[in-house]
Amino acid sequence: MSRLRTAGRRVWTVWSWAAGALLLGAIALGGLFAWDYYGRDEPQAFFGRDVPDDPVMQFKYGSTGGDRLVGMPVGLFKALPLLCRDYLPGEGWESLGFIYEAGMDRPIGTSLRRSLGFDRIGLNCATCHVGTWRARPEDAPNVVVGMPSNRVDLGRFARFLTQCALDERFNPWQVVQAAETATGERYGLLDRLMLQYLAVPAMKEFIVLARHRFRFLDHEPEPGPGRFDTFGPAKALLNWPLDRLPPRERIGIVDFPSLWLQGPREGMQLHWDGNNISVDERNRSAAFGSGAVPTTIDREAIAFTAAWLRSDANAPPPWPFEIDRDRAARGQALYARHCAACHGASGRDFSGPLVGKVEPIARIRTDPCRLDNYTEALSAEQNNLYAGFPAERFRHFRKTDGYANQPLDGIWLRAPYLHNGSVPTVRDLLEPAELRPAVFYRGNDVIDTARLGFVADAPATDGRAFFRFETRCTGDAAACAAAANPENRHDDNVCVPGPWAGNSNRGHDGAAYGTDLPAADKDAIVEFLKTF
Amino acid sequence: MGRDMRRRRLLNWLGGLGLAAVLLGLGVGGFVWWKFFERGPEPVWADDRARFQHGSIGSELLAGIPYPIFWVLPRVFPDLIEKHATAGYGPDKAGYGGYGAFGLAWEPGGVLPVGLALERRGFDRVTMNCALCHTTRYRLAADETARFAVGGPSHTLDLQALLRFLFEASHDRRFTAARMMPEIALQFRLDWIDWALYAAALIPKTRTALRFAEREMGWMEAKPAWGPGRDDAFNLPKFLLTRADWDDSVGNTDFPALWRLGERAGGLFHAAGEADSLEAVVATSAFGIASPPGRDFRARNRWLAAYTASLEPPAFPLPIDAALAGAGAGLFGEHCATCHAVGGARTGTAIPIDEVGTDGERLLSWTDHDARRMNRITGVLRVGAEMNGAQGGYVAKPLAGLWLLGPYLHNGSVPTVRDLLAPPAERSVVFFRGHDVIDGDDIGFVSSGPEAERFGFRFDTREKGNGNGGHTYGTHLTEPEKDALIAYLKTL
Repeated sequence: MSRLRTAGRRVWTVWSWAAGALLLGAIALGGLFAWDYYGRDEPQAFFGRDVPDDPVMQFKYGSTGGDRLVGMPVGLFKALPLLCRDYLPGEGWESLGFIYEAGMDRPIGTSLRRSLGFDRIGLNCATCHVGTWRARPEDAPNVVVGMPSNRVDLGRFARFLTQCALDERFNPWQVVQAAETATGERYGLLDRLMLQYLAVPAMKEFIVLARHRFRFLDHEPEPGPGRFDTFGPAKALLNWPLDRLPPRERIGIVDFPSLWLQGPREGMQLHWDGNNISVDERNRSAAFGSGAVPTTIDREAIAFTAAWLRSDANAPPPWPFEIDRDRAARGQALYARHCAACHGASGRDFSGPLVGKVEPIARIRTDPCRLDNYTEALSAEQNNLYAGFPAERFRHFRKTDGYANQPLDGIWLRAPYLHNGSVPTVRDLLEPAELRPAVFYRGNDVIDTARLGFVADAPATDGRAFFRFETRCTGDAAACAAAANPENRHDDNVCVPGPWAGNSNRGHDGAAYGTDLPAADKDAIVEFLKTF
Repeated sequence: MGRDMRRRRLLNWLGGLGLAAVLLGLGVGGFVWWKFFERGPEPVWADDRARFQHGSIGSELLAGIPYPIFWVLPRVFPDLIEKHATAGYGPDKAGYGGYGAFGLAWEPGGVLPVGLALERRGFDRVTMNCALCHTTRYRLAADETARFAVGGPSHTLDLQALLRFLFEASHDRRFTAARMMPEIALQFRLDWIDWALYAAALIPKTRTALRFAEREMGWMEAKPAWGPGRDDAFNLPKFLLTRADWDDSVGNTDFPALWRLGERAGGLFHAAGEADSLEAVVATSAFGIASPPGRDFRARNRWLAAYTASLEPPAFPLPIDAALAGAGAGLFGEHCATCHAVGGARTGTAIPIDEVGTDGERLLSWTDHDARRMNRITGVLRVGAEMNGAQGGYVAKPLAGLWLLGPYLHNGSVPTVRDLLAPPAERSVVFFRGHDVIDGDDIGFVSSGPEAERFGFRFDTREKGNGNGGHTYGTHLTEPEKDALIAYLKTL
């Protein structure tokens, strides 16, 4: 009896030891798998040991590291335009101005990173700094790297994400179904559960937060394609009480700038108001826009791209049409007399006593809203955005009192003009402010070869609708009279709020700016600028 | 065998246990030292100015706030910044911009606002130093960027609002690791040990310390507001250090300038003559803001005394009518020099309250009894300085940098020098403090009119301790004479 019991116990003991060991082994294996699977952090890179260096691809499709923070799973990215088709102006991300190239299944300006068990898509520099042009509406667009994006509509992109993520359809089941439809894949159990119960709620949570932090967009006119508020996101990151900011500080929409030839720009006052003289700090500050905060930024990738941005290879393409050499020569003399001191000797020679310096607002008199949007208080706080990394801390942000004079390399691809993109062509900019178009259309990439800029008078071409940009109230008189600041005047060079604030096309006019030259002279200057 | 063996075994076992305990103790001790006490590298200062502005006074262990926590507070509590930075101010006072909203002097590119030091004792800690209350932020016109005068009174700093912000935050449900750590993680890279330390120890500890400080400072809520540029100079050490019972005295005092303090050797220091020498002022003031006595303490204080002995105020930045100032010099010699010229017969003495006639509340806040109690503590701790009780009147000081010292009188109750030259009945009853644009005509800061009302702190001279009476010297002068005198005073 007792011997039997002992034997039984012995068998039990053996079995329980074996089961325990197996269980432990399984847990360890599972842990290892999870460590490997969810801990993997691999960007799709176009430089480094494994692939040949391709700075252009890296710029267009590489990661800034921001996707570690804000990247969304590929499935989600592809599902959204399907799921919320009615919130988009057309089909797919293209309808918001994103550019697709042959051979890539995601648009220019997006990165891909394996992180947290997902393939995640994030934005990068190219979202706002790659544009297109064409000679005729029926041509295929030419993609130009480093050109200010003239088509992407970030304001609308932000609105779409908010609308879709807070829509009833944005639930675990419909999102996964849309993702499977869009990608043509069938998710395995684990991936599907992760997507349904991790990615979907996390994204909803994030959008709720972002909608609140980005409420500065509600205070401003619609940016439209090719523009966005630069320092609103910095204030959002600092969690300022945005609705309590003085009205004059609330409007900061500007045109995207070009990113060519950054080497010669070192030491110039960068950003439209010249608030920083360090290319490196400017780069990292801009990278915040992609979610690249100090703890997520991919330093190697940023350094690789920054080096390329500084190189001579990063230059604008030459004017692809004919140039009237005689007229351009005449324009060269006029340019030297009227423009070169502030804008440089030529499209490659940036020498000039005032190039890269700030022109006081009292003299330049362009729309003051963006200037007022950037404050001394913000500069002090911004200098601390890299607080945990003393060696990388920003030191150069300063409040200025005007807008910076920029070199004009590739000026033919940088329309519309002025910091707020309020003047459609160079030829218009050479007219006095009151003769410049009060209303025009943005987002068309067909070159206006005569006036130098993009065609801006057509509301739509070939089924592509453009953005109606109003520099002031142009509707019926009664409606205008009821609106705040309908003429969009800022007489004391102080931003006066109103539905058109920030969009004024005033300033950069008068004798000093060539607006009273004879028409033939203006045409000659335009001709010369085509060589830039 | 038997007993011997057993005993030896027991001894071995005990010895092993003891050794393990010692090793464990060493390990734990080393870890604690490494994480909580190890000093960072000795800071290198570009110049004396930088050292004054950002050098630590050694209060890290007693009063240091972990840097990531300090840094993240404005981002987690923007509503509380707004609430406290705007309370009592005009409608356009900024309630945003991080700590800058409390009027701290934040120089472009600066790591921290002036007056805050960053040093590592185990972890990076933020502490305050002298420059917090002794750096003037000013502008010549509303549309220019701020200028900074080292050693001048921080007339824009609302220390009380800053404290109230920190205190209220410590009671907020958001003051938890769950809310603060993700925000910290955006800007600071913490390994898992530090993450655990912050979440489990430093955030709760900071919260507790702030609540403790709030209880210690509870008396200030029963008294008139300090407002920008002032604190309750001697009630602070009285209640915090000498542990005196809370009373209803009000000692609200303008922050003084630290310019040319060497000129004042032999005279009395502090508004009511509570100290006899610059060394005593430095030692007790540093001790008062948690600088622990010791070898470093003495060396640092020697440096501070030497630095402030010859620190110069900035020159008046606008044109001065030289002829007018010349005429004013004579008037100064006639009417003011006895008390306010360097070497004047009464300069550096306490002018009895019956004679000067200014607000007497401050004299009641610090008695000989309080001084004795304080001296007993400082004696035991070898601070190396003695204090006096209030001397029954206010000390007449030389007027170095007078144009940046507004508002005037010890309690900052008179907005401009021109106002001070008016009979008390004609002086501003209510004006606005803390707006940093200078008034180049009347000397002082712009303190009335729409702009001051939009940005300034409403200061009511009828509140206890805020009286603007007395100091009627020069009030009988004619207007042209006052113009001349003011022109001269700009040159000081």
